[in-house]
Amino acid sequence: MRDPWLAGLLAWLVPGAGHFYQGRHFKGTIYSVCILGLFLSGWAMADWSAVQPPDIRRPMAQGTLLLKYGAQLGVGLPTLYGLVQSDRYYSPTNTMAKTIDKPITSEFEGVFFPTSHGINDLLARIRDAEEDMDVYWPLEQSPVYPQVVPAKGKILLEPARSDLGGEYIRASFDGTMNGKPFEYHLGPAQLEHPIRSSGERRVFAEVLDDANQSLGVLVASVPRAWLNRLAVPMSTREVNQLHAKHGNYLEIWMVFTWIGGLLNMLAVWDAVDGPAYGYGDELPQEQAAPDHSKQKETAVASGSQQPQSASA
Amino acid sequence: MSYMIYLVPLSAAVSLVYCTTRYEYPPRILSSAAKFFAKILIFMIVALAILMALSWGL
Repeated sequence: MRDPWLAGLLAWLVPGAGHFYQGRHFKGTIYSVCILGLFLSGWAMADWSAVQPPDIRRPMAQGTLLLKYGAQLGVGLPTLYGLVQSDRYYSPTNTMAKTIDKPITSEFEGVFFPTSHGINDLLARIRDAEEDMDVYWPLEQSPVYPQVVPAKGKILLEPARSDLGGEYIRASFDGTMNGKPFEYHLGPAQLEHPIRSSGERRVFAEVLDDANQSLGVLVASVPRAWLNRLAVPMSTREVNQLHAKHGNYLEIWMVFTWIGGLLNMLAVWDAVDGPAYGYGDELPQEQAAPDHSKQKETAVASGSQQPQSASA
Repeated sequence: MSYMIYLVPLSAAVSLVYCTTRYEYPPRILSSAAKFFAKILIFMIVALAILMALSWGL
C-alpha cells in the first residue's frame, strides 16, 4: 500500500481521502459517504452547531464537553478548525465591532426599542435581563422594553470616517417601522461579536430625528460570515437554546457526529495497517493455508487488486 | 418514536464502515455488512420490545 502513514493522516483529516490516495476507491467511497455523511448531516441538522470545541486555553475545565469533542475529533479537519475558532472566540478582540472593512447589505426583520439612553444602556439592560435566564429571549418578546415596535426592510452598513478621522459604521435603513415608512435616520451602528455560533449577527443603530435627538435603538440582523460561525464554542445559554429548538432530535444529531468521529478511527487504522481480517475472498481455513497472519500480509500487499486465486 | 427512524441510517453506516475495515474484497464487505446490519436491527427491536414490556402500564 502507498505510504501508510500519509494515508492515515489524510484519512483522519477527511474520511476516505487516505484510501483514495492509496487507490482503494471502493473503500474510500464507503468511508466518505458513510462517515462524512453521518458527520456532516448531524452537524447540519443541528444548525451547524454540533461541533462545540472547548476553551483551548483551559480545555480540562470542561470535562463533558471534552468527551463530546474528543469523539468528534476522529474527523480531523472540522474539529481542528474548531481549535482555531476556540482561540478566535476567546480572543479579547472578539467584541462588539464599531468598524467594518466592506459594506454589508441585508434584508431583515427586527425591532425598535424606544429608549433615549442609547445603545450601551440597551445592551446593559439586555445583559441584566438575560442574566438569570436559560435561553436568549426573542427580541420581539422583550422583557427590557415591553413596547418594542417591529421593523422590516433593508439595512445598509458601510465603513465611514468622521470629520475628526475616527472610523465608524454608517447605517441606513429602507423599510417600515410598525407598518409605516421609516422617516428617520440612523446614527453610527455597532455589530455583535464577529465570532459566534449563530448564523445571524445583530446590528444595533440609534434612530435619530431631524434634530439628531435619539428616539431609540433599532436592532436588526445581518448574516454572519460562514467561517466565523462554524465550529465555534457555545455558551450554556446558546446550548440551551439549541435544545429548546430541537428537543430530542438534537441528541440524535450529536450522536451522528460522535459516531462519525469514532468510526473514522477504524478507517484510519485500515489506511495504516490494512483490513483486519484479510482480503476477504480467501478459501475457508480447512481448504487453504491455515496461517491467518500470512493471509493478511498477502491482502495488504495486494491492495485493492483482486488476486488470481479469487474464489470461484 | 419518530426520531428512532434516524437509527436506521446510523446502523447502516456503522455496519458498512465496520465491515469495510475488516475486509478488502467488495462483495465480501457488502455481504457481511448486510448481515451485520440485520443483526443490529434485530438486536434493537428485541431490546425495544423488552423495554416496552418492562415499562408496560407505567
